[in-house]
Amino acid sequence: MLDVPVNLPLLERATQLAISRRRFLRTLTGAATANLVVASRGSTTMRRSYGSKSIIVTFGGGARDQETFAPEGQQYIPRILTELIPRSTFYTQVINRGILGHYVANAGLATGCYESFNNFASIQPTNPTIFEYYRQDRRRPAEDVWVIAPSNGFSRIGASSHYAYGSSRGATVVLPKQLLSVGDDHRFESLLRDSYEGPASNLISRDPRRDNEMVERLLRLSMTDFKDHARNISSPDELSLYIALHLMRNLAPSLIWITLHDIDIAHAGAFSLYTEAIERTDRICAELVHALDREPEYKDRTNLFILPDFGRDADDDASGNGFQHHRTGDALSRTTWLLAMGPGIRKNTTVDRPVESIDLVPTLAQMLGCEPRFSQGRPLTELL
Amino acid sequence: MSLTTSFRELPSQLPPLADTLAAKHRALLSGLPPVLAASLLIEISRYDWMFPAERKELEGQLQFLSATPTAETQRIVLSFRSLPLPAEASAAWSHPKLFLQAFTAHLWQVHATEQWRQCAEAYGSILDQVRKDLFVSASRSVVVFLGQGANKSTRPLFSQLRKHGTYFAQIDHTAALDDARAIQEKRALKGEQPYAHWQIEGGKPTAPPSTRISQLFYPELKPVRDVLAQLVRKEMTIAEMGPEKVRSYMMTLEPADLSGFPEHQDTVMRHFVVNILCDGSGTQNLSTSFVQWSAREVLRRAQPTTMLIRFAPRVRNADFLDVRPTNLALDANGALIDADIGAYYTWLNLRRLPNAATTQFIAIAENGQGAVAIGPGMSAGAITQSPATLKKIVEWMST
Repeated sequence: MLDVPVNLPLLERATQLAISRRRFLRTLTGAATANLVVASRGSTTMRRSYGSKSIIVTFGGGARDQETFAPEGQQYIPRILTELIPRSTFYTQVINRGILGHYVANAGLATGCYESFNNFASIQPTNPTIFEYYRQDRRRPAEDVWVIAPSNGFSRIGASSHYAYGSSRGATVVLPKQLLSVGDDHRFESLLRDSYEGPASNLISRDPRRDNEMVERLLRLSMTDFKDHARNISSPDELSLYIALHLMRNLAPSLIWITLHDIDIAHAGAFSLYTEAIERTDRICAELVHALDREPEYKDRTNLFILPDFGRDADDDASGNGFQHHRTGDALSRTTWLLAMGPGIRKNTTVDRPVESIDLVPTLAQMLGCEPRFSQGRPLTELL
Repeated sequence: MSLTTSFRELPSQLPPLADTLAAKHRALLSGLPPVLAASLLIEISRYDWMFPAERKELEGQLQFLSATPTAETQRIVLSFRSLPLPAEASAAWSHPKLFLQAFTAHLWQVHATEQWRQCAEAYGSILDQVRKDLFVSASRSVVVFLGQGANKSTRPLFSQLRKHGTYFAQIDHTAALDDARAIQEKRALKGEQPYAHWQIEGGKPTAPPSTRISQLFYPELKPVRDVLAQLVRKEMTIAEMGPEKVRSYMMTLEPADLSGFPEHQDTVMRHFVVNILCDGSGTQNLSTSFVQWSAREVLRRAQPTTMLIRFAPRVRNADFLDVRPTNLALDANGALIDADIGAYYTWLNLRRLPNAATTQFIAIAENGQGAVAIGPGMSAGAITQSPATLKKIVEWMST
């Protein structure tokens, strides 16, 4: 448990959490420990050269320090610690001041604004997304920007309802579970649970309002291969990984946004299922990085961002039940981290100043060469 | 603390004892900030089905607020007035549940949850004072069994608890369960108020029925869970019935809406069971999370003198609406990991009760991975290789 008093204001608690995080990172072995520094942009005005591709991985089911970067949690993320962090700039203190629901929070990450709509409603974000900024400003086609989303609730995350942007400029959203749910094939039911938030064992089903045929056409996916793969996996996030790898190999889009969701099984209150999901997520992140290193279209040309949308409740908050939910709004549930790697991004570097989750969009926009006109975040200067 | 003279319209259909209590404190409730009034009215509406300890606490809270307030109390209470409110604030008194649901959603929407947290944390100091004033000195004892059916793991157990107590590496657990029950039964014979002694089990009940001990067994509640699942399934066929609406629906359920309760459970217990199964929208339905959540709620609400909880293997599938036999295989080793953190959470919740320093807490692994004892006579962070039994540990803690 983190030794941070519970009655401190949010920012002060978050700062103390960051100090704890830095300490955790310093417990790593080998070169990573030796080379950790606190980064600062300094006075240089030299422009960096970024990757022409960007991949953003969000965890739509936050994980806490205790199960990730704290000494007792490092066992669950061996690949992120040993393979990814040495190649990354790592922000120890990313605060999400918005609504702690996965869809609305991910929409906030994509718009750079704290969105305020009902998390459980099928609603487009109010503010323009990074997908729209990029496609409009750079005149990119639909097949160049993809979102791989975990559940029906995310189906409208690709484009906002903003008057100046909207669906025609949004990302193509693929819901791997929906692709798998065609017909009466019951073999995949264990992979099709739509949400972990409630009793909702609502199995995901095809939304008639979605143009799935268009998505499948753009995706150029062999459903036979996809189903064969699905028979041999145990988790929905592995479906998302499959789609991501397929896209990278076959379409090589410039922008891919993947929301992983397995970790949210924590809502069932079973610690073992939660930590298993973190281990799986760690493996999936590493496999994505291996693919970046392998695929010629992406090798040395890709900016990768990994961040949970937010954390989970602290053990010491009496109004919550520890890791199980994210309903208290306490500092631990609002404070998380961000990992960035790619050409032009410092390696083996930690940044401890507080930043906000909405800072992702202006940072990405600068890398992608578009203008995030309505974003409320501020660019992460250490990356730019 | 009457801040206004005009009486508000209170909920029209309160149970009899709750109605009397609300009427008695009508002036106070009418004068409170809406959020606080609604929170207290929801508590009052549950009064008829409350455990004695929580009844006393609610009465104490109302008396505390009715008395001439100190400047600090006045400041804390008035701070609730600065919270942003949704439209129809008057519903706080007439329809407190609906009001609080709307208020919570509104808080998230206007990004004011931190302000709410600060108010609630400050109000916690009033509750602490009430608890202290009401506290009757009594030593409390909690024993947790875990690891039933699990292999002896190379993963160390009790990593969170060990730093607070003594770890017994060589424990003979063969008679531990019987000993724990005998010790509890002996304590229960002293004839304290109802619901002072509890047994909660995640597996098939092995404890004999007892009139002195409140018992909650996960498998016994399967018929109730089945009826609940049927109701939820039916609700979910309604268009636009998303997780939030399902959750709201489940919060309205009462024992009369369900069936299949064990005969030994009285009305208070049945209300408690419904709360346990419906809180968190039914996500506490695995055997391990049921035991952990029940223990937490028993500690918070009933404030028992003794509690014996026993975790058991759980099914792998976390979805309570899915009952296909293929998904019902048991996972004892996963349950051991769940129970390990469950034991730690139980200790955290125990520590929140008054006089925590004198409490005896023992967690014992049935798969041969030792035991940890926290409380009087137990050194923090100590490890002993000396052979021990649960009976012996209890003796050491009691002398």
